[in-house]
Amino acid sequence: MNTSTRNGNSMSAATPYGSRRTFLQQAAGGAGALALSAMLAEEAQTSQSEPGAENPLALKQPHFPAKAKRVIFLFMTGGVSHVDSFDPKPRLFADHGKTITVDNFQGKLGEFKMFLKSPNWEFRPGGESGTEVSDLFPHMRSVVDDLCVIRSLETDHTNHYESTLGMHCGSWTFARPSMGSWVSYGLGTFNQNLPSFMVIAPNAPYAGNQTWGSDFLPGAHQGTHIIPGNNPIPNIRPRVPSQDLQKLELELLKQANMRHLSEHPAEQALAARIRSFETAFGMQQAAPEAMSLADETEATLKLYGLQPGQNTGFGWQCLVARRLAERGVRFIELIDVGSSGNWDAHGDMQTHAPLAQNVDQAISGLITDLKQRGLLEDTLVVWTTEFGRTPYNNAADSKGREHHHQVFSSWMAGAGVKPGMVYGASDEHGIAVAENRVHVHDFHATILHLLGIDHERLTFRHAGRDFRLTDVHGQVVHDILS
Amino acid sequence: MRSTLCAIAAVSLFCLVACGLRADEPQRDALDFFENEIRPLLISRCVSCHGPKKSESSLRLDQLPLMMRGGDSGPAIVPGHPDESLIIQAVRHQDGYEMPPNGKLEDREIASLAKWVQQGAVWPDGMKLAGDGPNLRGGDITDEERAFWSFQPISDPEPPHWDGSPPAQSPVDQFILKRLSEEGLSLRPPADKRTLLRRATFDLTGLPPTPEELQAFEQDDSPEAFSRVIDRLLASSAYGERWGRHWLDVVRYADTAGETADYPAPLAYKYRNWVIDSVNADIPYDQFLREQLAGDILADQLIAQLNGEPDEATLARYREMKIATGFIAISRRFGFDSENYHNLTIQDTIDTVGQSMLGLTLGCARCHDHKFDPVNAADYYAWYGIFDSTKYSFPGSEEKKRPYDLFPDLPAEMAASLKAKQDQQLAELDQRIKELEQPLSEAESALLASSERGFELEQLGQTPGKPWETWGTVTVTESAQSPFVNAYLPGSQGLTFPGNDANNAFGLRLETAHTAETSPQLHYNIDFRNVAVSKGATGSYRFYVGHGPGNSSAVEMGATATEFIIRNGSDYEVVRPLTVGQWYNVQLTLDLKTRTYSGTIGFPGDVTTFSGKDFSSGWDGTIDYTFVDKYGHLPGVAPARELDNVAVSTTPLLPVDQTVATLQFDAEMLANLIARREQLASLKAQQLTLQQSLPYEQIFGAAEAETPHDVPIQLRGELTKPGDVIPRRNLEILGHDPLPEGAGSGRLKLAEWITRPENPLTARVMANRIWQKHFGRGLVGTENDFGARGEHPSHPELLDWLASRFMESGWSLKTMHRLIMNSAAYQQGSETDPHAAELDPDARLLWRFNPRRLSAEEIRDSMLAVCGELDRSQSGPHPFPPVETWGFSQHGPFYAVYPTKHRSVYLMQQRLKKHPFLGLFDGADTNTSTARRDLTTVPTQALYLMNNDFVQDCSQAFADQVVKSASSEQERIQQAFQISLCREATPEEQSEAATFLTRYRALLPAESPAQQELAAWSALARTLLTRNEFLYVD
Repeated sequence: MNTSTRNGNSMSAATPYGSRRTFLQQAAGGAGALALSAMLAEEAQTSQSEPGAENPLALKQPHFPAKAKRVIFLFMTGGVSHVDSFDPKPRLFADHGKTITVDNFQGKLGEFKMFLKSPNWEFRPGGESGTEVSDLFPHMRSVVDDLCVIRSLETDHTNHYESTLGMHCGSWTFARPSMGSWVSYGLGTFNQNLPSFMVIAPNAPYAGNQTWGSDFLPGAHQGTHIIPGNNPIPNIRPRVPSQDLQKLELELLKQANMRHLSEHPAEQALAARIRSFETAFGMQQAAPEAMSLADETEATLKLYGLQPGQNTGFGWQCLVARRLAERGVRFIELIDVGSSGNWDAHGDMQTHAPLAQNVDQAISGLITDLKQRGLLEDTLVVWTTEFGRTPYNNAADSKGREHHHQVFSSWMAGAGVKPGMVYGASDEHGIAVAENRVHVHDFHATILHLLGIDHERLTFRHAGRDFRLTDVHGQVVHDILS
Repeated sequence: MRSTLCAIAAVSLFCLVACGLRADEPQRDALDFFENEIRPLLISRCVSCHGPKKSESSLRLDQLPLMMRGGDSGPAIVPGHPDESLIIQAVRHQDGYEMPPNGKLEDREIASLAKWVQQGAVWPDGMKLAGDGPNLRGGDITDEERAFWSFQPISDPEPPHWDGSPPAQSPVDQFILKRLSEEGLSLRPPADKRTLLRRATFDLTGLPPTPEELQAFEQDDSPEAFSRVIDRLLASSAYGERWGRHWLDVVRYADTAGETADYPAPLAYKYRNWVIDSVNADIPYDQFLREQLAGDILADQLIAQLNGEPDEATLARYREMKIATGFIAISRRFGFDSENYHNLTIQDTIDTVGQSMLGLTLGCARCHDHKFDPVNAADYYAWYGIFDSTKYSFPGSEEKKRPYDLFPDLPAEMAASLKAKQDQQLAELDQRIKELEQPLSEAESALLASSERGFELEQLGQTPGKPWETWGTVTVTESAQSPFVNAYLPGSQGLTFPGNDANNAFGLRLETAHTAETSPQLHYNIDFRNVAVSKGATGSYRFYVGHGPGNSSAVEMGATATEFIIRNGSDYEVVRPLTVGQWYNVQLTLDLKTRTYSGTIGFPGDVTTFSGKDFSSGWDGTIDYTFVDKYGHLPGVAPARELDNVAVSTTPLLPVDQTVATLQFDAEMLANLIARREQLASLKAQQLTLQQSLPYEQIFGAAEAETPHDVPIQLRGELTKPGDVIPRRNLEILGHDPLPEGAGSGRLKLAEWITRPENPLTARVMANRIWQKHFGRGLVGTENDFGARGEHPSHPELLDWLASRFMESGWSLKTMHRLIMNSAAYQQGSETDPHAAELDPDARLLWRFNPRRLSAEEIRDSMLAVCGELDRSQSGPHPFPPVETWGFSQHGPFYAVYPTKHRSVYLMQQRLKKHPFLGLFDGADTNTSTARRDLTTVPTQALYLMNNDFVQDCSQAFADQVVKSASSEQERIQQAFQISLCREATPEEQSEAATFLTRYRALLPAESPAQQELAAWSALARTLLTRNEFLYVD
């Protein structure tokens, strides 16, 4: 293998600092969205065959043909109440105030006398499927025919920290690589001008950036945190007064590096670093371009509930997610709020209302938009939270609900998932799983399966053993696959 | 346990005999039944988790004997007795078992299984259900396992004979050259002096050489030139900072605890500095380990052996050894109430001891016998007992927000005596305070209770105390002393209020609630002035006299920066303009019967009067409160202001231009009261300081628990599932030594077991690490794993020879560096060779020196060093927030980044959030032992190098230095290359740089020539500081 020649060829190829810029200007200037995705796909092809071995983000073949090419993972921080949103419990309305003895309260075992608490929102059937969703999420109800609602999720811990970690990393105590990192590691990514795994979050959730950390996986697979607002990616803004100046500087740098490389023809890392500067230069335009909504129509903005010029809020996060999906980002996670001021409604369930308002239209807009652009066919959208909330509380007049890990609801939509379906059920009051339990490990196994990954075969050797996202657990939920 | 096994053996024997007595026919029926019903069931539903590939809970169901031996919970079947067989209970979901986990068996299947057990569990002779599968171990350690290479005693082989070419420079070369020659390979020619110096300097200090150092080396033609370089580098304090960091990687050092809120461990830095200092001092490695594991015990022994008082040197040793146990205290914490997860913290300790010192992954044995290495769960719990008998300093957690079990850095007796002395001081203080706090006389009490004392009794710089009530920021200051003496005698202080958004207010509850009946007339006095008006401060503040704080006003007045207004009924009237800086006196006379008031505002010579103004329309008839707050008639920020001389009186007050004639209180009494109060305040401050401080420093470390004890195995790693109690002892594979009586926790013994020369692992593992840090990979490439899943050594004899020299030298790291770096193998070039690369792509056999990228720390330190900004002194504690303020939770975890110009080893490193720079450039994992940095090359690193402030600032400082260093452009370019790359610029580079500067200046927007010059040179500097030649070492 003659690496040096290959590297040499690639590196001397015209003007890397010019070509990408031109390309992106063209893309941003006139091309319609579909044409743009086509061009971006082409770009992906090119980058796949780009030499300079050991690119950890190079495209890799899945274990088997995949229905989903990418994931948009919507994470609601704090614990959304299942019995107030996606899991209708008529008996809970009827039995409000009645006492019940439960054997588990916030993870403590024993006998607890509790008061059942009626949901704050009415449920109504939506769409042709008639899946019932509460008035908390009227917009999501309008797209419920596209969703597969799972009402039987179960997690392992009643604490935010542990369950947030669990939902992201498949480990409730120890930090492990997060799902996005595993997917990036397993499949690589389409667009080398953007990170493979991007997390758009105004604030870190519980457990901090461990939730998108790559842990022992190579650092390239770590999630890149985008903070909505004026400066979404650190170090993305050029510091010199003009692009020409930066190009001049980078060209001198490259010249020096090429000379150095020619003296060290065997060092592949040197070529990779030269390429990383080109990518970074590209990212300086590609990332802000992907995050700019300037070329979105008024109708699209409206779909997401956005005002022109707005660059924060969940609507912005959702629309940017679609743009990143179009541009070949493999795993996009959106976190609605951070570790405070979130769905953790101990005091009053009514605090769910503004949080729902923040996400409801944006999410239904995302589903609609993806669908009308044909992207929903190969994009898996997942909506989830760290746990549900207790259908009961320890005082009759309690307005809030506590943490509940025994059963909660989530949904998936898009690539390879049966639309308009409800899977699993909780018991009459929404306290425990009644049928078709889906443990978080099973949830993860299913997501990986949809991406063409056998969760038992995606492993990484660390500290003397092979690690997996699903540890030693996980069963794919075949019943929800289309 | 043993008796159960015997009973099972008896049962099965009985069964076999019984089966044997049966006629053939039923036996065949039973076998058919097994084949048709049981075998498919076991294969489809059980064996994937309880078989050769996996044996969950140590249970295997693929062979009858293994089934009868059972797993963690005991035998799976009792032939003939389905109701007593765990497997039947499990499939029936009885007694807390639920198997299989992915869905209950059908009733028919359960019945079949029960029937099969009932009939004696007939099984085809010797049959295994799922083939052999990979060899997962468990149970007794076999001879084969004992024979594994890394458990063999360390030999001391003769270096192989070598008289070939190139000649060996050291015995190390004899091993290397001999092995290379077997593959037809050899060493590369020696590296040039610049390359070698750069390699050695980064290697030993993590910093680049200076041009002067290179010059000195190049001018030294003696054969000892390089040895001298090594000695110089080893003597530099930067050596300990580089090699100490290697150890900190291995022990996953962090400055925070790692539980859900990532509590800071402010004292952990002492351990960090101890590691650096110990490495610099080259203390023997065995002692280095012993002190980390049991320094507290050794320190106490040191003191116990003394005859007299310990001298300073002894006390310093004592302190060092205690600090060394920070190794244990920095173990990771888990969960919300981390005390409840201490079992995981102990696992973290054991796992780190295993990986760092022994190259064994012991943590695996928490839940089950190690599946690959001869370490069983019993071994794990034998060591667990040792650490469970140890007190760990507690860093704080979300549940318990304060640290505890921090240990004095002095011998217990001295600490106690200092403490006693301090207690004595405290007691004396207490006494004096009590004396001063003697009951007040009636007159004094009356004086104190009276508002008429003004603000003179209040403490300067503080918020006024009772009877004053305050909101927001209110400060007693000297500047707020009004010049008017119509109400009180001249004083020295008043109140200052900042002009901001907050409601900065003070109020006073009157001693009497006045009504028209009790007090037909009231007199009010206040002095005020505006002191500063911030931009856009157009709001007003309010003067209030009425019922309660805001219940119902009688009189309201307001002041903006420019006007004074009063409220007349429900209208506001401007009374007069105001000037910033001028004191004004306001006096009112309130007529409660007619609900009207009149008054004056002004200063001597300029007084405005008003009269016949109505009380607020809704006044409820009571006046018992007066205040000044921010809610005047106009919203917005009000001016910053000062107030003094507040009085509400039933007797008339004097006009502003007169002096109060009679004393309204006893001046001497007031003076005494003030003096006493000041003295009290000072004593109480002393008391507080003493109460909050200790007469000695504290240590975040470990100590012996009160009652050392053994612990039971935790089945499947669960605390709630205790198994047999395991006596504390050494690992079986390392000697199985029992813990003698009176050995306390056993940590000192543990330290001895680990560091005794007979231990086959410790010296090998460390010799291998030293080799690794010089060459990029160890002779064993899995530096933390010398077990079955690890690599075999590429040069087993060299490894043993090195380990022997290591011990022979008194476990001296510095000796090892000299030994290794003086070899031709270390000094060879790094050029590649196509033929050799094909045979040995990673150069494991060392046919060349492998180039490497700088570590995160080296990148940052080099940039700082080159630009002249690096602070080379040792850094102390981090500026954590004071412990009294800690309230971190998972909702608001601790997170901080503290900027510093010290070396990167001193950066504050957290567990939940990585340091942004170290995280980006592949710094060590703070959560688990890092044997080797896995280096990545990602665009976000390039973005950092292009656009981050740090790189921008460094290149600017570098440019500034270069521009100042010489006047000609050519000289400056040479200077820049020399400082950053330690070499001259070639003519080609020289002209490239010159062209670059010209073009760059031309493209710059018009600025001052000096700024343009700096910008252009900064850009050139960036290309030097971020180029591969700077970031990589050959």
